[in-house]
Amino acid sequence: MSSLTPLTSVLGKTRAKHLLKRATYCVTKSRLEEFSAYTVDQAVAKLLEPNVKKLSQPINYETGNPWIENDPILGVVDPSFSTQKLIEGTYAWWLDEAKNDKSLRSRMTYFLFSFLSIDTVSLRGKRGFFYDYLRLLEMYALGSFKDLMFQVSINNLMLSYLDNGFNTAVNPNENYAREVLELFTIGKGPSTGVGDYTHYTEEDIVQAARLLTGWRIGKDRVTNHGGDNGGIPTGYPLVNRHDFGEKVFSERFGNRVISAYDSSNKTESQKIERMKTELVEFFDMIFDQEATAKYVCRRMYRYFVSANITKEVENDIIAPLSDTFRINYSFEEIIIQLLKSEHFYDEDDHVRGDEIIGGMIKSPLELMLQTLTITNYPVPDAIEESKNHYLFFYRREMVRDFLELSGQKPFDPPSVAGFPAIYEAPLYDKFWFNPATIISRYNLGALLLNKNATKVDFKVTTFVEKNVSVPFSVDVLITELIELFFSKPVSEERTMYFSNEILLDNGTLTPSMWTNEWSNYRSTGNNIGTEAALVPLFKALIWSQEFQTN
Amino acid sequence: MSALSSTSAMLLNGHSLSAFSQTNLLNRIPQSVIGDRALVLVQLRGGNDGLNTLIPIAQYDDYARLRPTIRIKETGLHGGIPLDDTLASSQQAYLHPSLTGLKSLYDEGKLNILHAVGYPQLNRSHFASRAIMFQGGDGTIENSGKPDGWMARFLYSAYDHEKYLDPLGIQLGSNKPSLGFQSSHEHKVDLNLSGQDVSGYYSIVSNIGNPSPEIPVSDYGSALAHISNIERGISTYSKRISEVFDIGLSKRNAGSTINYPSNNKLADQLKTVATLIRGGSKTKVFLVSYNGFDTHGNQVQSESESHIGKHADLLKDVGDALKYFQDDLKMLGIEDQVVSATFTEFGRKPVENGNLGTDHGNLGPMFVVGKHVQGGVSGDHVDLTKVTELYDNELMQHDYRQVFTSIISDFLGATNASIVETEFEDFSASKLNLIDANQKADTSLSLETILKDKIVTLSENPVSSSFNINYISNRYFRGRIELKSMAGSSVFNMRQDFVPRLNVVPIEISHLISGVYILVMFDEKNQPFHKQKIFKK
Repeated sequence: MSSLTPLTSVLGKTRAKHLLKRATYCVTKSRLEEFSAYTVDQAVAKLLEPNVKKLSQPINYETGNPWIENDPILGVVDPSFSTQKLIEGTYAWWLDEAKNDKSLRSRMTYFLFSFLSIDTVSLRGKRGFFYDYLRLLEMYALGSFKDLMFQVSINNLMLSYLDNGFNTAVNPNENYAREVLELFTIGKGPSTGVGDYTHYTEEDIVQAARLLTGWRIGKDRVTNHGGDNGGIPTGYPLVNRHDFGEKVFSERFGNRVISAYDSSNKTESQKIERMKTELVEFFDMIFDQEATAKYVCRRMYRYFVSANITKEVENDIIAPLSDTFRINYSFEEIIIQLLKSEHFYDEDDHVRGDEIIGGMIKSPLELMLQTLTITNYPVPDAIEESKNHYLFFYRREMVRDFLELSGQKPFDPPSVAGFPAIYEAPLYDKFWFNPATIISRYNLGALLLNKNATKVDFKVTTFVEKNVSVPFSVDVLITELIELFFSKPVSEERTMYFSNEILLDNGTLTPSMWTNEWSNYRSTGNNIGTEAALVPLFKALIWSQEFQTN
Repeated sequence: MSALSSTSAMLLNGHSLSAFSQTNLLNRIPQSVIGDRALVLVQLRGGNDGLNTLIPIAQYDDYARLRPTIRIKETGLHGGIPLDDTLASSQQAYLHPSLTGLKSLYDEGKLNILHAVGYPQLNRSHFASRAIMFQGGDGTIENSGKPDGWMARFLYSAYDHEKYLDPLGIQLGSNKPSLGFQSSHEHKVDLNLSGQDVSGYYSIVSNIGNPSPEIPVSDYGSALAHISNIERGISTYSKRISEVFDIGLSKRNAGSTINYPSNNKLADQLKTVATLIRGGSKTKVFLVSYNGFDTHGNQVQSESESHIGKHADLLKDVGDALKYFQDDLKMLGIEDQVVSATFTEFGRKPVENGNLGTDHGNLGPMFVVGKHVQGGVSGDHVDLTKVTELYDNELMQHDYRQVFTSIISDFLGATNASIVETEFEDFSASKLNLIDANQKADTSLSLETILKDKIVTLSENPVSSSFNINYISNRYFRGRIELKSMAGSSVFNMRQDFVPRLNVVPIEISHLISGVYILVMFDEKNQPFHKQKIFKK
C-alpha cells in the first residue's frame, strides 16, 4: 500500500538529503544539517519561502550593461548585440540563479520545462524571448497550470518554436496543436485505431489548430495580451487571420462544440476578446478530462520520485494526487502533497529504504549544480569577474564541456518532447548514464580542478577544511565526505577503498602520515601535500557509482 | 548461433549433403564472406517528405494540385532529375534536384528505391512512430511498448557475442542511445560512439579506474547496477575500437582518396563507419542518423525557388553522404561487405500546409544502397487521386519490417530461428528481392535446423480445449512449453521432457477464452526454438 499520508517524524540526515537533492539544486552541508532537524512540514515550508535572485537579468560581460532591458541599477542595454552571446549569457544567468536558489522554485521551473520544451535556436535574434519564456515558467511554477497553458500558447518563443505564429485560417499549421495535446496537457494514450489516440484523435488536432489560428509573434516585445502575468511580453492577435468558425471535437472530448462566432459588425477588440475566450474554452475542455491531471501527475512523479509507476503507485499515488490537482490545477498543492508524503521517503510499506531514495540517476544539470553547491565551489562573481563568470566558467566549461557532452544542454533538448531520459520508457533517468556520456560525467571532478579552464582556483584542501569536522583523522574525513556526497551509507569495505586505496595510495601511506600532512598544512599554510592526497580522493568520489545517483 | 565457425560449417556440408537439396549448397556463399558483412541503418529523423523526394511523373498534375507552392518544377534548370526513362509509367519519377548523389548510385545499379513504406497502424507522433520502428512494432495497441529493440533481438539471437571482439552494434550521430539497441539482456553488445574521439577512446576510458560497490536489492541498487553494467560494456570494447579505428585510418590514408564533403554531419558519421570496417571491425549493425526533416515551415525557399531551402539542403547532404560513402567503400576494397538502408518515422501530408512546408503524414520511400543491392524501383507511386489528405495505410506497399527482414536474412544470413526471435517471422514468406540473387545468403540450412529438427506440427489449428503438439527431436532434453496472450502475459506453462523420436504432447487449455495466443517452445537452456500463433476456438 503506497500512501500520500504526510510523514510526521523529524527528517534526520538521509531523508533531509533526499528532499534537498530531489527538490532543489542547492545542497550544502549547512543546509543538510539544518533540514535534518526539521519535520517534513517545517522543511517544506522552508522550501516555499520566496527566493530573491541575485540578478534580475543577465549582464553582457563585454560592456557591463544588462542584456535584456533597461534597469535603474544595472544600467541601459546595449543598442546592438550578439544574439549568440545573449543566449549564452541567459543560460549562465539561469544556471547561476538556480544554483543559489534555496527554494523549490527553480526545480519546479525545470520540471515544467521538461515537458513544455522549446529550444533557444528559433528566433534567437530577438532580445529577451528566451528570457521571457524562462520567467514565464518560473512565475507559474507554483501557480495554476491552466493559466500557464494560456500564457504558453501566446508566448513569443513558443509561437515561433512550434510555428503557431504562422498558423492562419487560410493556411492552418498543426504543429503546436498536436504537441499541446500529445505532450503539454492530456498526453497521448494508446493508439486504439487509425488516428485515435484514446485521449484525442487526429481530427481533434485539426480542430485545435483552427482554434489556435491568428496569433502572431510580437517581435519587439511591446505587446502584452497575457493580463496579469507579471508584465511578460506576449504575441498578439491578428483577427483577420483567425478562424471564427465552429469547432467540433471528437467523442474523446464528449463531442464538445466551440460555437461559431459571427464576426461581422464586431469591433476589433470584441474579436480579440473572442479569440482569447476560445483559448480559455479550449483549455477548459482539455482540463475537464481526467486524463490531463493524471498525465501531469505522472510526469511530476517521474521527475521527482521515480520512473517506476506500478499499478499500486498509479492507484495509491497518481489517482489521489490528480484528484488534488483537479481542484485548482495548482502546482503548489500537488508538489507539497508529494514531497510531504510517506511515500516520497519510502516510509509507507513494511520494507523501508528499498525504494526511491538514491534510486534515480542524476541528470547532468543536477550533477553539475549539486556538485558546485556541495563543494561550495567559488564560482567567479557575475559583476566583479564578469568575463570569467559568463564566458570561461559557465559558457565554456559548464555548458560546452560538461552539460553538452553529457547530453543535456538544458534549454536545447533534442526535440519538442524534451530529453529522452525524462520521458522515454523503459530506461527513463538511466538514459543519462550511457556509453556516450560516461566520460564527461566522470571527468567533472578533473574539470572543476582545471584552473586554466575554469579560471577558479578551487582547492580540495580548503573545501575539506570547511566541511569536515576533524580533517586530520582519516576515519572522520572519509566518513563525513561519504555522508555528504552519497545518498545512502556504504559498506565498511567501500569506506576502506576510499581511505586505503585512494587517500593512502594503495596502502603505501599510513593514517598518521596523513595526520602529519594535515598539521603541516595547518601550521605552514602549504597545501601541496594535502592537495596531492585529496585531489585523487575528490575525483574518485565524483566518479564513484554512488555519486551518479540521487 | 548462426555465427558458424568455419569448421562447423564444413562439417555441416559434409554430413548433410544427402539429406538436403544440393542446389542451394552449390551456390552457397562461404560463411567467411557472410561473416564480414554489415548493415548500416541511416535514420532520417523528423519525417522525410517523400513526395518532394520522389515525384511521380505520370501524376505530375495531381502532384502540382496538392502542392501548388512547394512543388519541384518539372522542367528548367532547377527541375527534378528524371530517374530512369526505361521504367514503367507507374514508376517514372523525378528525383529532387539535390539528389545528384542518389542518381549516380541508381545509375550504377546500387540503389533500390522502395515506395510507400510504413506499418499497419500508422502513428503520426514523432516519438511514438520512432519507438514503434525501433521496437519492430506494427503500431497496434496489442504490440506496443515492447521492452527491447528489434536490432537487439536480432543481434542477440543471431550472434554469440562472446565470440566477438567488437560490439555487435555501433551507434553514431545521436547522444541518445537508440531504442533499437535497447535490451534487457545483462551483457551489453552495443556501443554509442557519438561525440567521442574514436581514436583516443580507449585512453580516455582506461584513465577512469572504478571498482564497483556492492549492489543492494533496491531501486538504489538497480541504479548502481545499471552504471556498473555500462562501465563493463565500455571497457570490454574500448581498446578494440580505438585499435580498429587507427588501423582503418592508416589503410584509408594508403588506399582512399575520397574527400567527404565538409559540413555534412551524416558524411562524417559514414566516414567513421567505413574506417572501422576497413580496420577490421566485425560489427554487424551500424546506426547513423541525420536530424531536421520535420519541415513544417520553409521547406522550400519560395514558390519560384522551390529547388532550394531546408529540404533541399537535407536531401543534398543525404544523397552526397551516401554516394561518397559508397565510393569510399569501393576504394577501400570493402564494398562487397556493406548494405545501407535509410528510414524515417513517417512521410508528410501530400497537401502542403501554407507555410511553405508540410505537416506529419504517413507513408514514405526507403532507399537501400550497396554493391550487391538489386538496383531498381520496388513498387509504384501511390495513386494521388486516392490519397485523402494523408497517405493512409491502405495504400501501403511495403512494411518496414519486410524490408529489414529481407536484408538481415538475404545479406547478413539471419536464420529462420533468428528471424523468429527478432519477431519478424510474419515476413519470412514475403521477402523482397533486394539483394542480387548470386549474393544471397542461403539460410535454408542452419545449425539449428540440424540440431533441433524443428518439426513441430499441431493436431489442429484453430485448436479446441485440448490438442496435441507433435515434435520430432533428435536428442534428450528437458524443455518448456508456454502459451502467451497477445499482450505478452503467460497463460499456460509446462515443463516437458523430450526424447529423440516423435513426441506427442497433449495440451489442455479449457481455461482460456477464445482468441489468438502465441505458442513458444523452449530448449534446455530456456532458449525459445519455436514460436507460432494459434487460435483458440
